[in-house]
Amino acid sequence: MTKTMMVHVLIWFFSVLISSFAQVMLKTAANRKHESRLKEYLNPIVIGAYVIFLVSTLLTMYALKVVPYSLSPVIESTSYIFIPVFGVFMLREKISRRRLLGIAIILVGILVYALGGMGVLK
Amino acid sequence: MKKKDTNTIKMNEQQKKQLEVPLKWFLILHVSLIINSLAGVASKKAGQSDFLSVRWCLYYGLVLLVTFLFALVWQQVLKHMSLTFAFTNKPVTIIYSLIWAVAFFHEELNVWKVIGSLIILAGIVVGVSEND
Repeated sequence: MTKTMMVHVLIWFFSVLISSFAQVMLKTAANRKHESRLKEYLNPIVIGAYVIFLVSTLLTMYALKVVPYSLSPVIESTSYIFIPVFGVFMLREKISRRRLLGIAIILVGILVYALGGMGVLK
Repeated sequence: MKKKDTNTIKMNEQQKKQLEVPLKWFLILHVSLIINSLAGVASKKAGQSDFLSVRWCLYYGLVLLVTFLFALVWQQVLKHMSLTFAFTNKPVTIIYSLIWAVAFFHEELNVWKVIGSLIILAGIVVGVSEND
């Protein structure tokens, strides 16, 4: 892997990381009581989260200039690792061993799907 | 109360429910994920059209509309379940996208994509049921 490729892959990982963090912000806002339905959406946390999503899409587009699109499912799937970690440590959500096993199986599935799509698996 | 007794009570409470959320919200979650996967279809349709043509504007408008609808539903979905539960279900969009790829774009199915999808589905089934 060239240095340019490595930098762009890291940018993509960072994009997934901040987008996972934005999901934590949405959940934090959802956990709070709001005066009206409209304020459930129009509050600083939700608006901030969508600004982060916007930045994340821009970073992903920048990374895609160098990184092949076929790697997308693999890189994007790291959100299934970031989210449970954030869920446990930032939102204090409980996660069962069974759910962890489910997530591990999902990650294997995504890997098979992506490698199969790239023609690596014959 | 002894620690062992507390654990037994916790386990019994968990066994009473198969899903973390009411079925209604589980179904709404999946409808929102279907909506999310359809944004990909509209996006690809836009990509196949000439930039700024009427067709492109129509499909890109659809992408924005579908994304907006998803955002509206997603915030309500998150009020009723944990983020980890919602995200354990989210990979199902990969399978929906595969179905749309065949249905709308007549893309050929790759055997590994089907196997990968089945493994993902198995992972979701294992991950969403609460009994440890």
